[in-house]
Amino acid sequence: MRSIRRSLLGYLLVLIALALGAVGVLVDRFANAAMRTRETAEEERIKRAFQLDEQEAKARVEEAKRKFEADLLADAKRLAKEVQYKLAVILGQNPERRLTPTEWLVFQAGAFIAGQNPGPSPGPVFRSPGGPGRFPEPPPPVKATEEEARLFHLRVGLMEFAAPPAVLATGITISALQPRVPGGAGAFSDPRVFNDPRRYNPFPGWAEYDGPHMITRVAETLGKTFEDDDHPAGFQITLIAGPYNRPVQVVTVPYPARVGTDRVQLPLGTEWYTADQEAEPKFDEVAVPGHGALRRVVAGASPNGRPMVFSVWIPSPPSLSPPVPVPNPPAVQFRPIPRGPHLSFRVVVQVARAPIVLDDGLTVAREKHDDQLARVRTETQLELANLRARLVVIGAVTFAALVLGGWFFVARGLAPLHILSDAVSRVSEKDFRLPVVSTELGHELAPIHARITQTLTLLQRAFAREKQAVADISHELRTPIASLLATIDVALRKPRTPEQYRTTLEECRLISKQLGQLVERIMTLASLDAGNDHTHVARTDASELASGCAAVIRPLAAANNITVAVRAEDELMLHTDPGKLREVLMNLLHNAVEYNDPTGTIDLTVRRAGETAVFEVRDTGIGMTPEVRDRIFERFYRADSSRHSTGVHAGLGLAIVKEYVARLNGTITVESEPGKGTTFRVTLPAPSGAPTPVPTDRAKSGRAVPAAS
Amino acid sequence: MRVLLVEDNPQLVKAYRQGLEEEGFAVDVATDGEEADVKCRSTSYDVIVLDIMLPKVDGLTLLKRWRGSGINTHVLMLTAKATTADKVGGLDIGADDYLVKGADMDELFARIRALIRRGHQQKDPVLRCYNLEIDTAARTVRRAGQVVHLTPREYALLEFLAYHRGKVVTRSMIWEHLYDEYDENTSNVVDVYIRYLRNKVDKGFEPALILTRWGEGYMLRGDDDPPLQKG
Repeated sequence: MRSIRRSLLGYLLVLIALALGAVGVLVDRFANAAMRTRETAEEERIKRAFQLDEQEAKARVEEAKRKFEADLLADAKRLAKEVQYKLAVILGQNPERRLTPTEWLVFQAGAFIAGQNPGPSPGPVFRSPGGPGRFPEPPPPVKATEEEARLFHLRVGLMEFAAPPAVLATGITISALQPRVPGGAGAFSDPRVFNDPRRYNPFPGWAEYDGPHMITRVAETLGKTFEDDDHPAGFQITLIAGPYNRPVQVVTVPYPARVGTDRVQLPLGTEWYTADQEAEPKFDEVAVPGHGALRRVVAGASPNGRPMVFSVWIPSPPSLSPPVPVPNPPAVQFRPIPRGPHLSFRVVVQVARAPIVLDDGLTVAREKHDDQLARVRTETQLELANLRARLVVIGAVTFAALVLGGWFFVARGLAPLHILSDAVSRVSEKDFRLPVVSTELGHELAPIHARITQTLTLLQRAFAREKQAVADISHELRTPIASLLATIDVALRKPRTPEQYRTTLEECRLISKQLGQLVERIMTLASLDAGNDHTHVARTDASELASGCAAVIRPLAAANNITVAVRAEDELMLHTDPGKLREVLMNLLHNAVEYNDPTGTIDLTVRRAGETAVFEVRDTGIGMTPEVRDRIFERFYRADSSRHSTGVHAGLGLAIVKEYVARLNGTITVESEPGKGTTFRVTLPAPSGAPTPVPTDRAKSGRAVPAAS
Repeated sequence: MRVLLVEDNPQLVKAYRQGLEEEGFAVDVATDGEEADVKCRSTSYDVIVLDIMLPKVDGLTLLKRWRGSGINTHVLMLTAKATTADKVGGLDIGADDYLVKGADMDELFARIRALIRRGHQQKDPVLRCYNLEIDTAARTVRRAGQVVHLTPREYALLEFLAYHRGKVVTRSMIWEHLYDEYDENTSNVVDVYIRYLRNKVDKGFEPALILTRWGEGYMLRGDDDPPLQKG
């Protein structure tokens, strides 16, 4: 069986679950939207910040690049300058000195001539510093000591430069001359030396080198002037030697040429050997094994695009006889040295550095940007998850609380039902009162309460009536049976005469007949109750029927000195069940006789009143009080509970009358006054128009079936 | 023994009356409550057989009224109401016994006899006086072991005397208890029946049990009466 409590709870929970679900979904959606909006805003902000950062980083990179290149260039220039100075010092020249335009023209012209005529140059026109004239034989060269050698400038001489480079390589002798301190050791006083144009600076002690070695030596010397950390960047100095624009030897200064801690070779493009217009430094990338691409700047050491030009002396030709050490050396015959093309050094410096990590800031900014974005997204997801978890937990807790609370409160709400149920279950056949008042139940249950009370009252009445009826029936039956038994018992106690037996048997027959009538009446009522009776409708003359009934009752009435008068309208035709109507009238007449006063009268009147036929039975008997009148149609009810005047009326007559009248669609009313008499009035339907016959026995049973149409 | 039968069903009255009379009872009949009331107050009955459903005044009311006014006559309710509640109600109002209609006549008679015994504080259904034995159940009489045949009226007289053994019963008492309302009151009918009884009971036996108290009435010899006094 379904439990109301459970059903109610179920509905309630479904409702709550729906509401919670809807609220949860809405909250989730709004929260989601809010989170997304916030996330989007945050992302926008992060992106803008990133763009700014990016621009900054780019600018910084540009700046850094610019600065880098400027630094590199500055380095290169400084290096070039340094090299220039150092080389000049090594070569004993004034580094500040520049060829005058005239000299430059001569230089170019000489180069041109040398190019045209590589033969021995005409004798140069030297002017001795000391003055014109022949120089005395100079003292033989003396090799300078190492200490001295470090202290003196170098002079470089190129013996033959007109020859092709291969020739030059072998033919050139470079002398490193040890300068002498003027006025010291008498050497300076030697006019030969002093005046010897070949010994422009005729110092004692000198070393001789062939051309390539000389250049190498210069390079080495130059290299030694640098320390490891003079320049932060890797640099390389290349000396290109040869006549002007005709490089014959390229020497890289062996030290230092490094990047970081490694010594590396920076390749130099050949265009730098001969280039004339390479004044502008050039940036480029150079691939160095092990270090990747380096940013490099290449610059000529000489400004103005001009090579550094050094004067070169040619020593005695190999054909010359070696000088004879004589106290007075003979005058040496010098060939005039052509003032021709001089050896020129072209110095190219390279400064290379690993390019700075240009996108360093950018990467950081991008990483930061990505980080922030990821964090914002993660946070949003986390918060959403948190929110959902909280929603779920709240929903679950609410739901659980509602389940428990709902169970309790639904039970409280249903308490009146329990009360009513208990009350109903306490009702028994002994006590039909509902032991609860409707104010305890609430107004929803009040109708049910009223209905149950009403039903119980009806039930109680029916029960009491039934009980009474059973008691009555048993009582009514027991009395005749008892008298039958008693009669027979008495007769059997002794031997009797035939006459006595006959009397006894007649006695018994009378009693049995009464008993049969009683049973018949009870059966009739039971049959009426069960609805098994049939109404046999027929065309009936009411007057005739009334007269017949009066004729039947008249002997009984006469025995009691009662007169019966009949007043009937002629031709009052009815469509009704004559048997039942006769039964009704006979019962009423019997009652009228039974309850009449001696010498009383009975009036039976039949008349038409509109659409009805009215039968009246009026007696002048003892009458009834209103209390009695209200109950006379109850079964087994008798105004005088012990009256047995005729013996056959067990209080069923009027009950049967009432049932019959109801079957005939009529009504019965009573007027009575104690001591004066009683009038029963039966009203049956009697349509005034020509009544149409209805088939007999068409109506089966039941009160609702019309007796006549 | 005189019984008042209060019953409104004529057939029943007829049957009971005949049965009771044949059993030796003197029977008066009342067919409604008022009549019964009048008869009960004017006559001393041994037992009243009372129906409940009666015209005018019902049996229960009647009984209540009687008990209220000090009438202690034994009342046997004989009605068609058979439920326990009815029985309890009747007995509680003051009935001495309750019998439902339809019971055997023998039972009715036995109950009436029992009520009569109870009225005389007699438990033994056999009444004894010297060598006289009266079996009230079988309605037989023995004197010194010999069966004495009595007519119902003689038997009733002897039984009445036996119930009042040792006490004088007057003629009017005998009349009142042994004759019903329809019997003709002839002055010497009691004496005649006493003589019949002596002839059958005392003649040829010693001692004489039926004694005469001159001017008062008769009595059955009690234990303390002089044994050889001749009546």
